[in-house]
Amino acid sequence: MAAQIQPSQWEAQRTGGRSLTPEAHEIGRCRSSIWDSVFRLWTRGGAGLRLWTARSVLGEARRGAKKQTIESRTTEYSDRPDWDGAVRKMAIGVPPKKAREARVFKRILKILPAVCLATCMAWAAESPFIGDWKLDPSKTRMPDEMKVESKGGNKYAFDFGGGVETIVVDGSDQPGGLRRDPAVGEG
Amino acid sequence: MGATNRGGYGGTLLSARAEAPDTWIVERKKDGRLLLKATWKLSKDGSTLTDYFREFGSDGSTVSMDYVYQRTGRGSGFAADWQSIKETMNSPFPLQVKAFQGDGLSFITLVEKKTQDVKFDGKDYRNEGPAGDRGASSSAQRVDERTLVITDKANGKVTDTETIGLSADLKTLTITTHVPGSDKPSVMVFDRK
Repeated sequence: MAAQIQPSQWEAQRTGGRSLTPEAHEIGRCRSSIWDSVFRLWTRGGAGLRLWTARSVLGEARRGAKKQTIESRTTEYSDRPDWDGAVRKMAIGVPPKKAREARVFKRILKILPAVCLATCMAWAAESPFIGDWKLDPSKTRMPDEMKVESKGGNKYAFDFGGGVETIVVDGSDQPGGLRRDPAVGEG
Repeated sequence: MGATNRGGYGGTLLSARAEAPDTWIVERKKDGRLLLKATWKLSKDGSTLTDYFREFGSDGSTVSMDYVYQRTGRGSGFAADWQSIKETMNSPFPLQVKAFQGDGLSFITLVEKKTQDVKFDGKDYRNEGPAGDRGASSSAQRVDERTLVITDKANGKVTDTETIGLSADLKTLTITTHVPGSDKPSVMVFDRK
């Protein structure tokens, strides 16, 4: 009769004496959810956001190696002698689903302002309107109207669009009695 | 005297004199300083009036525009309703567009010393410069990636609506300005520097 291997002995064999903490598993899972959300925003964002994301992804890739190690170890638990669904959850330390979702949501809330800011900045930086422009007079039209009405003698009423000014055409400076157009303000 | 009222000239003095039977000189001053000078010249048949318009900034700058008007109403000599048929901007008229508070835009017209700061939230933003001092403000809406609409107001009342469009190659910017009560919009075309 073969000697039965105890779970603690089996785990020690698999991990070389190192134990996997529940937090290690959780961090890997949360990161995965966060980056799924970021990717959705990333697809709508601009180059600035993509650059920012790319930098983050590089860092994530480095951490990814560690995460993959954790996942591969997790699957190895399936051949544990005492393996079943309930034991599995306890073995890898997965918290209840609602608690896990709450943590993910908190992390998204933390990252969201930065993502929004990056998106806004990306739009501004990419706005095609930004730049220096020079007028092309040959294609420009600025229609204008004016009215000049004789009031007898040398007196004339002028309306340049901002109200009527009546003066004597004698070269002297005159207030004109400007009747203001409220839309223009000062005429 | 096309742009005589463009900047708002409350508290100014107006003068006009006949330099010749077919030529008038029209000037506007404020506090003794010459703001603008327009030389009006009638055609021989009296059907058109050419306006050599010059506006002088306090910083020594000059805006030079030439207008050709056509008589549309009754009258003789200079007395008539005049409608421009040709406008020539002789001065450089640069337009600068910058980012404003993240996702907004600033439209800076150096010649008019006007800066329109807008964000695309439908709110009114006060203009910078003399126009802002007179209660001018602007709000903006984004129609699509290459089209914006800016509504300008003075003391809360709409003065004009500007549709700003970019060409497909993003090299040409066109500002079409509609003034309430006028059926003839102005169209300013800019090339990217």
